[in-house]
Amino acid sequence: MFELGPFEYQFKNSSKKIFCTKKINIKNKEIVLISGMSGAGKSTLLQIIKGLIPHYSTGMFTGNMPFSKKEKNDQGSGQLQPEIVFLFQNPFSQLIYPNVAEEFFFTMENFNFTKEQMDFKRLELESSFNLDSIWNKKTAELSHGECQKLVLASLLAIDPQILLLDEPTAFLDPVARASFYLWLKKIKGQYTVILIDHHFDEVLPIVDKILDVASNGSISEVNGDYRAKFGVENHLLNQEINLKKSNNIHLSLAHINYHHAGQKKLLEDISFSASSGEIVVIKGENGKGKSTLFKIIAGLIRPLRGEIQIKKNGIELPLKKYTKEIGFIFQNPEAHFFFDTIAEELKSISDQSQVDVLLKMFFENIDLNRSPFLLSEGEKRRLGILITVLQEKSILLYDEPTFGQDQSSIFKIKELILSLKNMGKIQVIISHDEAFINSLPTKIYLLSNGQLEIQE
Amino acid sequence: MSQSQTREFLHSWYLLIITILSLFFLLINRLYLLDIYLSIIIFYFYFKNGLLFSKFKRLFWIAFIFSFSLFLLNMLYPAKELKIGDGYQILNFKIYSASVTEALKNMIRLFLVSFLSMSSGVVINYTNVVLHLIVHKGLKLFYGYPVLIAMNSISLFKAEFERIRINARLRNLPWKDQFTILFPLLVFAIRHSQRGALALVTRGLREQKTFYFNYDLSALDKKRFRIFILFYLFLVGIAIYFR
Repeated sequence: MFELGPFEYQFKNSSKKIFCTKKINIKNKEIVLISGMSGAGKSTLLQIIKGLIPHYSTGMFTGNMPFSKKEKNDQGSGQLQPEIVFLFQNPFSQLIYPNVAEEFFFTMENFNFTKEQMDFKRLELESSFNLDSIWNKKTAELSHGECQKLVLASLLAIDPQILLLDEPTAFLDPVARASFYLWLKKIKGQYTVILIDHHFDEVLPIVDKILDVASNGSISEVNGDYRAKFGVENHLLNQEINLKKSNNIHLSLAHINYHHAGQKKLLEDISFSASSGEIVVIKGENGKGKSTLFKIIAGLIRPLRGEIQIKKNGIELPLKKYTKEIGFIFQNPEAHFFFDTIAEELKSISDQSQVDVLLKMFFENIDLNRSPFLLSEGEKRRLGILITVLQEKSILLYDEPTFGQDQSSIFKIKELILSLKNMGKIQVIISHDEAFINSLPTKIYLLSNGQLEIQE
Repeated sequence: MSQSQTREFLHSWYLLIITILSLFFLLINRLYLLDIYLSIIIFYFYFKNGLLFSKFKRLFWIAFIFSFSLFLLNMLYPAKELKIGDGYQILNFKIYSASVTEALKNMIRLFLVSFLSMSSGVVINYTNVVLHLIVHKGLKLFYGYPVLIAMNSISLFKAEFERIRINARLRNLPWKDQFTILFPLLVFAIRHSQRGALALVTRGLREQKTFYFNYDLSALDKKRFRIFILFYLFLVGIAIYFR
């Protein structure tokens, strides 16, 4: 068992903090879910448990560390507790080597395992993590699910006691996500697991305890009816969004073919169309061409064959005018930011009245003088959506808009999409979030084997 | 050598050494025939180490165009001491045979140096070099692993730059703000290095660690390297003799 709190962590140059006023006991082999709105401090809490804060942070920590042991090596730099392993939200950011085999052995090497011990661990973990199918691959070729399995296997090989998992299902498609939850059920009782996850319906049946990080940073144990606590709040839409309407816009793709140079066909004979006010969802496995299709729609890549047409008020627009009509919300939100502060980002796009309405909708309290790069992942994603919506384009392309978002934020995004639908925008969404897709009135397509098929 | 790595004809560490030695020779040697012999041998190693002919052709033309531009410059604007004899008038330029000869020599030298440099960037596996240095040559882990992360992030930078560029275009940023495109790239670089550092820390990197793969140089690598060094010394001897 270990105790969490009391402690307080104040972020540098900010009034934001997270704190725990009472001791919270976490029993051995428990599965603990950390919940809270995006930006509340959930990932920060995991970093405190691992010891990254305060040893590798700039803020101010006071109070009890969950683990006070810190070994020092000859050079004086501390080693963090080896019995705790930490899986980042994006497993690719934990990769060191270009090859899978070396990556797998890396953690064990750091703890001075012998070659024989490492071979034994490989045999032990190979089948449960399906490592033999990726063993000879480059790490850059792995899908998100494969990369996550690789890093997780590498971390579990050192027999940790506590697993810290930061939104482990954020980048996984539904099949990979289901497989992850099955694995979590399977290891229940073997490790203490502390995870952040927003898929409550799937994860709540597995967890033993829930800690909530409130918007003011307060950490507390959730007792009682979890579902009542995590029901979606209806925030919206009492305020009208007054953006430019886009009637009489029509997008059509006919017989689009594309493949990257020297590679096999990615997109084959793709055709679909959408008119003002329509929402189109494109589903499909990772790496099958959905993002490439978006680039083709935006006029950024020319298809090898086929035609794209955007008509506004019945008049076909030339290719060079596509960028004026199309907004692209990237999966990586940081690609949207060009300026030093959030205020500068928003000022460069739209007038203040619209900015205020939408800011209030998406953020409880936000410091506009803060750098957008310092927001949490969920906040960055919402800001990226805001920045694109405020550009008042007629066609919006969303690449996984609900990744890393809590239920409340997903609801707000959904409501925004519905408002934009009423304004006549065409919205094309790539998403794996079935619940989100099912809550929207959409045409759903599946991109599989290079072909687009409508789903009933 | 790592079992998971493609087997190299000559280990990248040795390939790096012979490339550096060859570039040094090309820069100071005056007998161009020796340069050509040396380049043939080097490219033999490069092709054996995986240089594709399509890449070879592409780099050839880049190096040629670059060095040809220097040839034209040297030929059309020769130094005073090369303006010997009557020369030929072409358009507004007077071409002297001495300047053509000198321009050709410079072009050959520049062509070989640039061609070799660019090709070496394609065939040398710097991951293997860094790991060999860490395991066998005493390069400290806390220098070597960050270099490894940096080297392996080049493709990520390219992808991120592409995303930023696309976004700037879609956002119709005014021309003066187009320069701000460098800012998010800089932030990405800093944050990537932060994440990389945290990854090393959370996975327990420490000075005393074991290695599963030995990143050793094989007996064949050493043999091939010795053969090259003998050949190289032979060329150096000839160059000095005929200086």
